[in-house]
Amino acid sequence: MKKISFLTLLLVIGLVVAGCSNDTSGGAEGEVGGEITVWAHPFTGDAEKEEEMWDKISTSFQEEYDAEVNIEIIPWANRDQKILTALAANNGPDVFYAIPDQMPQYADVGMLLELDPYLEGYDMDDFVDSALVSTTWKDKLYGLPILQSVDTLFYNKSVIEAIGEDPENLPETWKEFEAWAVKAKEQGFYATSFQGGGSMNNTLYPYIWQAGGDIVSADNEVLINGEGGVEAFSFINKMYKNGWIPEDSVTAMEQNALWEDGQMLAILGSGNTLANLQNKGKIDFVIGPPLKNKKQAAYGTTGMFVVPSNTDNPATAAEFVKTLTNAENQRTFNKVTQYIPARESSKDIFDEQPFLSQLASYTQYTLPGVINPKGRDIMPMIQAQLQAMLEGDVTPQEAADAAAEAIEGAVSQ
Amino acid sequence: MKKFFTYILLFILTFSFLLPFLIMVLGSFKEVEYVLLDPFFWIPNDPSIANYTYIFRDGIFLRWILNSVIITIIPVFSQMFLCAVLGYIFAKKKFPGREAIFWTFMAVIMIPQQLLIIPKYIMFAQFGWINTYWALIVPELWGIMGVFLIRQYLQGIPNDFEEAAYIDGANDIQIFFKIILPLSIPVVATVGTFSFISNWNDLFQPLIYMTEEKMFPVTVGLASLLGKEGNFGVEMTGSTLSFIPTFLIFLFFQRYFTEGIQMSGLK
Amino acid sequence: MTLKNNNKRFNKTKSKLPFKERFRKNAIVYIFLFPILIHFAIFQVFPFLFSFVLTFMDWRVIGNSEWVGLKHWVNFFNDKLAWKALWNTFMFSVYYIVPTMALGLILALIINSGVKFAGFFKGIFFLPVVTSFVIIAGLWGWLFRGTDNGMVNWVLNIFGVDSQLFLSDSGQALIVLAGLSIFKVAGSTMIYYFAGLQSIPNQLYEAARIDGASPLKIFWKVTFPLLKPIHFYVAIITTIGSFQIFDSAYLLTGGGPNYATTTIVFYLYQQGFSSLNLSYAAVLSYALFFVILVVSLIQRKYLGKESSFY
Repeated sequence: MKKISFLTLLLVIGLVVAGCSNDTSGGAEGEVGGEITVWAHPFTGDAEKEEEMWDKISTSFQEEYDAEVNIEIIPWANRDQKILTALAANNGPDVFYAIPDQMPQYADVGMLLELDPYLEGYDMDDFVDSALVSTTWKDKLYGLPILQSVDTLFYNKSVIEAIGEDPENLPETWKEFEAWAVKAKEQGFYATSFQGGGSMNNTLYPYIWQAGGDIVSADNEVLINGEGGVEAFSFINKMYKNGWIPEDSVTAMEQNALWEDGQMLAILGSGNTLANLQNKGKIDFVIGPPLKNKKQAAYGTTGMFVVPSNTDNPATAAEFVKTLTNAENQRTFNKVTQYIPARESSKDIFDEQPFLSQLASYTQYTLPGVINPKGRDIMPMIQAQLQAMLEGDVTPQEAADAAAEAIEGAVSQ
Repeated sequence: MKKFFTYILLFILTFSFLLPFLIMVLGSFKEVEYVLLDPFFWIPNDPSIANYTYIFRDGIFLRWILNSVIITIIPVFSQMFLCAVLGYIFAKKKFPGREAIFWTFMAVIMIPQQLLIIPKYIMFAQFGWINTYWALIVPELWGIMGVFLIRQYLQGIPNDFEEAAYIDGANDIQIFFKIILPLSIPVVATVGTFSFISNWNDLFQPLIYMTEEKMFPVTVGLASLLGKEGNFGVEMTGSTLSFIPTFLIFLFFQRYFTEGIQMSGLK
Repeated sequence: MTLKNNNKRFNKTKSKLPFKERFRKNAIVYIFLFPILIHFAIFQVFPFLFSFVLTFMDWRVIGNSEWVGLKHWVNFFNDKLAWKALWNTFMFSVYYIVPTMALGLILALIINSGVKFAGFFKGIFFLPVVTSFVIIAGLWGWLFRGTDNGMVNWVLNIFGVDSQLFLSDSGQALIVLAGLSIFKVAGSTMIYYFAGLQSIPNQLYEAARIDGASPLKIFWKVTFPLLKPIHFYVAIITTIGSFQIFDSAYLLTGGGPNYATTTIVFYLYQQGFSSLNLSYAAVLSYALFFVILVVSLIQRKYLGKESSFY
């Protein structure tokens, strides 16, 4: 008797589960209208300016369509969890913000709406090519890009002078950078930052790409322990053992204080680093190009807006994403947030901002991370191997091989 | 000599326990975006209330405080009452399965809340509770740790009063209100204070259940003011503001704590 | 007092007393316990069973989920990382539980020793309990920075000790995180111990002193044993807290270096919400549940039983 009632309970729960998740319809149907909810995040920390910006963008949409748009600003904290939880209950937003390594993971399990059917007659050519690469998964487009960023080196001018180098003539290759690093170390400076507790996108990956290697391809070919990969592991190991990067690089989440205090030659940063430096005006800086060993490369994210596949109002949601990422709204958005617009025609906002346009010129070298549904799963595995190497437990070759093995296991599941 | 040593130890401990608090309060008067190397970077040589004016720039902050008050006060009073009732039941009443029920309660609170969040959210969405106070109030109406503490306390109180009252013909609801509740006021105040602290400071649950700005409690509202990189000054200001009520509650009720936690069995 | 005895006594009462009389003595049980049980079933048991069902599926956030039987459970037994995470969690408890109790007791002893402004100091020691965790964690990371200019390293250097890596060293990171939790929680432990100390009658101390016992001996022979119910309560709350440790790893180390601070809740969070493997996360939470259950049964057996004498 007890057993039967328990089984019934299981059945009921099972039905609830199935019932909650039985809602996948595609196709470009439906009229634009009704109400949609958009989840964005505090991009700058200046809530007032951002509110104005969103008002302007949603007004531009409502002028054209008879639809209501609720913009909700969601804190960054535990953002994945919040989105997944809400979508699971079929109670999520109709449009939300995603980055390139999230997108394939979500698209692969059918969580995102394919946008191609909605794009007839929409100006796609104006989008930056490298941005569209990041919004596409298996030849289908799942998001439209709003912003790009590029990670490159910001040099402290007074440190450059202290080591007797020329700020007009910044390092372009690993070799040149090494020469500077040695001098910096001699003078008691750190050469650069390495936030080993953070994302591999800002640590290991750019070095792998610069060495001509890759991590794992979209069709699951593991490349991390190839020649380029091992070279990157070795280079990082050398930087750590020689004290070119700080002692806490194994797990550090940020090393801003060392940079702010003038103890570091160069910090890896992007748009917000620039905004901070300009606001404070304390450090005199120059921006250097992304380094190269075999190939010039940098990590650069592409921020995009996507539509979940269980939205009640796909037509309006898709239309809003289109309006949000048009040339005019890209200008509005990126002027406030100080990112690089993902459309060529919107890049005119930099005319008076030489540093931003310098950053924008590097977007041609950027790669968006690992585009694979397991892209984010494998990151902690690679991180652990990298940390083991920095702690001196394994050699660079062993670390790369162990990372490759772990990736192999993850993608074969 | 012994006294001297005690005071030295006291001084060191006081300094280290005071430090985070000092950094928080002084840092709130300093416009600095992130932590710096200088050990005293948080001391404002040029104090400014810019962070406060920023947080209070429009009425929404007051609304967040109101939300926090609502989702805190109701559970606090409800917990004080229900935990007292349950503590009494589990300490004094005899019925089949009493221990089994109690220890099941104890076992289930050990499940990590991180995991229950999805089933709970799905359920709340069915109830239409998302973006309402219900999602944060109803599940918190009583709490097992409070029941546990009050049960421990009442177990130490002799049954004499109760039995005398039964003989006088009182029923046990009267006994609870006339004898048990007055006896347990100190321990109930302790439960209330700890419940206040935990509900007021909870970030995780409201972060998941609330998406509309006007429904945010203070903790989530402050998080929503921070950009991707955070901002040291604004964080300190927000923490100082949300710290004040919890600390006042502690100061006000701390005299009850001692009495409340004392178990008669210790005598 | 065991369950069996209760049952016997209850049955006896039942056969003797008429319903009205029983209701008079137990009305509160009927009126309050049933609604509470329903509340408990809805908000605790149902979500818990729901996640139990998840363990047998490949659960999708959107779209159809499939039944996969014991796949995730089998994976768990072969997942070295899950066992490492359980081990880390256990080690964290070792570093955390006893020191928290000890520090709380020391603070309480100081306050109870007749120092001036005891109430004021009590307030100060309670400050970390009411200060936000994010602030304290940030401060802790700052104090224990692994470079030469970290505060703690700076102090160590003065005493001629080499700089330590702290959070960047797999041997030290977990201990530093435990230190953070000790600092955050000791204030509330102190409150419980202080209350306990206050209720120990002075005559006991005097009697011991007349017998010529040293202060240390008085502490171990009189004070410490008399605090047993407090030890029990504090042990339970710190144990639960230690097994659910998550925030500090999330904020300060990201689980590293080389998984040294990947605790079980951190790992299940990562599996569930970064890797979208919610079913496996559910398995991990069940594993944690069983561990806590076993530990608390043991605690109850050794600590709880004796406390019921009081």
